[in-house]
Amino acid sequence: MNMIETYISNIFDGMNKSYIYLWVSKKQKVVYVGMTNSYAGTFGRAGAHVTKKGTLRKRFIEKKGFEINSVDDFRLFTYLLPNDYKYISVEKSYREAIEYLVQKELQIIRGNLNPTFDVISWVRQSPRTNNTEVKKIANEIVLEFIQCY
Amino acid sequence: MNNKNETEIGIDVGRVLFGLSRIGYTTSSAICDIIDNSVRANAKNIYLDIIKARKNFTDSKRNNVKEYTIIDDGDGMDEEGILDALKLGSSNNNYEKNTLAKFGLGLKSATFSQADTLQILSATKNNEFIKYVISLQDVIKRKEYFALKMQLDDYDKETIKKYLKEGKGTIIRVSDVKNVNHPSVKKTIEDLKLKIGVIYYYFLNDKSLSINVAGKKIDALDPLFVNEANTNGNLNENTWEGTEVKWIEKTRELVLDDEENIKATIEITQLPYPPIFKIIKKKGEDRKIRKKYLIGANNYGFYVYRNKRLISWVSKLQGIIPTDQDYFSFRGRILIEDAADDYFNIDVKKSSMVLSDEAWNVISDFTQEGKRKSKQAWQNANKHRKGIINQQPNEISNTIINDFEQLETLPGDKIIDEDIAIERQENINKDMKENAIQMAKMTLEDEGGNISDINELTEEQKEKAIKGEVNERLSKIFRVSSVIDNLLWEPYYDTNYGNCVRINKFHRFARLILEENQENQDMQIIFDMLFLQLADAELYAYKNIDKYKYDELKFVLAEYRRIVSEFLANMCRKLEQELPPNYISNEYD
Repeated sequence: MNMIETYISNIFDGMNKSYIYLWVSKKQKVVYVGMTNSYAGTFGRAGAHVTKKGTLRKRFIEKKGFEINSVDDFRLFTYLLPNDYKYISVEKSYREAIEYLVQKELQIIRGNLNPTFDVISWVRQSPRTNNTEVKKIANEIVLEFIQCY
Repeated sequence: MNNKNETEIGIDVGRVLFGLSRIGYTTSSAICDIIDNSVRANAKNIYLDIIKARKNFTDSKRNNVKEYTIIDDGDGMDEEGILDALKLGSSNNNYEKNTLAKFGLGLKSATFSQADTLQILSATKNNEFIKYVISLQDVIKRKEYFALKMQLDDYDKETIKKYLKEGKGTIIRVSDVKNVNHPSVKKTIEDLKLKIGVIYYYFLNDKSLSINVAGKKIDALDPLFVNEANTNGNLNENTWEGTEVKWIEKTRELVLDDEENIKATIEITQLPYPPIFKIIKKKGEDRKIRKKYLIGANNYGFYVYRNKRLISWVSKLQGIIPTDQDYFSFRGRILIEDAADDYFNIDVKKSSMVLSDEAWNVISDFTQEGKRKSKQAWQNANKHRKGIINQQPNEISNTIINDFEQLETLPGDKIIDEDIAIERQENINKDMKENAIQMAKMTLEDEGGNISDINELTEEQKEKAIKGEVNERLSKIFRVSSVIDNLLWEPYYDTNYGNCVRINKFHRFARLILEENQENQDMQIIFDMLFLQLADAELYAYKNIDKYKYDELKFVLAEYRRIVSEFLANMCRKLEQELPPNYISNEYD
């Protein structure tokens, strides 16, 4: 019996919180960027991603040509956004802007990372990508991700 | 034959040469290929003389060229070098980084695409000029590829004396031009001014190369107009009016292959939107702008430079740039070095290339945002144009409401005591002053800036912070980029404007009305009116309802705004495909 132990910390806690998250498989060289204000956090959001119609599952098969089930090295990176109403609200233009900038920056710098990867998420454009604070947060997330990758 | 099973098949060299001359050269592209050899030979000065067949005819006359002479003061060639250059598939021993001469065919195919005779005269430093001539007709007749060594005539000596005072360099004469469907001298000069200016932009710009065509020096022409973009700054696709060149992506280095250290430099600008000039200037001005900025179906996309020499006039990069008029202002440049050749397979005609999968992926991903911005900007500029023709709905609603005064007191509401009224007004003034500071901060942040001292704001900046734009026609209803807590709307009051509303134009519900239903101007006007009344009602409550404390009212009404804003955002999200304009009306009959 091979036990799988997964550390989830408190990423199920989405009460008045919002997150940017990255699903990463180094073996398959894919990264999926997402955001959520779900009350169940990124852990709760994860379930929806791997359902039959889940976007992570769909994007993965579109890119790789085979099912996600065989991936055995997925890691989930979670970044808590500031506790400011504009980031946790249902209206999500600020969250989307950060998500968009993170994805875009990853596309630019991926050649410098080993192994390089495809960004398989599709991110909505947001009119707020010029916002100073939004850019700063996105930049911090990317820098931190590079350190951990 | 080394092997008894092998049979020599032979080759009809005349037909091969004829075939090579039919691979799709235009006159200007053939001349450019020959000029490319001059650049390869380290020329500092290149001259093109165009000799007309009938000198008395104007330059506009078609089929009237006798000879093109391309002269360069480069290294020149000795006899062995000349013969090697004339060979079909000449060696690439001298293959320099700043050329495309990979296949050893350019000189011959370019010449014979335009003419029947190729003359080459060349000399290295301190040596005599040597001349060889190839006649296509003689080669076809004899089915043998050969060149004839000839003595220099007076015309040759005159040319050398005029242009090559240092006694070295190369002269190529493309003579006995085929005057069938041959462009006029004027057309060729126009084409060359454009092509050479763009192809050798970097060389001409840093003055390391000078090219003269028919006696006129060609100026460097940057297809991205980067100098103008540097002056005008970054593109804001939501506010760009189409009159200026802007940066979409400033120069960035992309890694194509980390292990091999293969990199490409990429930059993208947005060129002006020509139709706007017809409106703001005068009729015909749009044509001038199209000509100046080369805006048209054949010029948008990426210009690819290899070692600073253009290798692809404009490329859609295998579908990365869609064929769509909305991208006409998109102008990109990719700079690569020869090390990246395998990632940008170059076609023999030198006019196309095929990206490797990896290069395609990297560039495609990087370009996504730029494409969106460019398209959005083009469409917004079009909206701006329409807005000038037919007043913007927001201006119309402001005009309609300008002289309207809402009821001072509603039936059933008593007139409050004067002391309380003064206190309430002071509270409102104080809160709005604080809000105005917050608005200014948010506006600056939205534009990518910061503010250290709110007192540094100019009057214009303050007006822009409150109203979203400096526009005297806007007096009550302001569509702005940020509202506190990212809510859909908020009331605003000051003594200049009175009761106003600030509508968050980036809120999901506002985008539904203002962007997705932009064609429905009537709905936009009603939307503006509705939110002004919501804001006005809130300010009415602060001023007139004294059975609740001011702070209680403030709290409850702010909560109400928050809940409505969130409900509307959620509704838009969940019903995205079913709200106008996406719904299919028949389904609801």
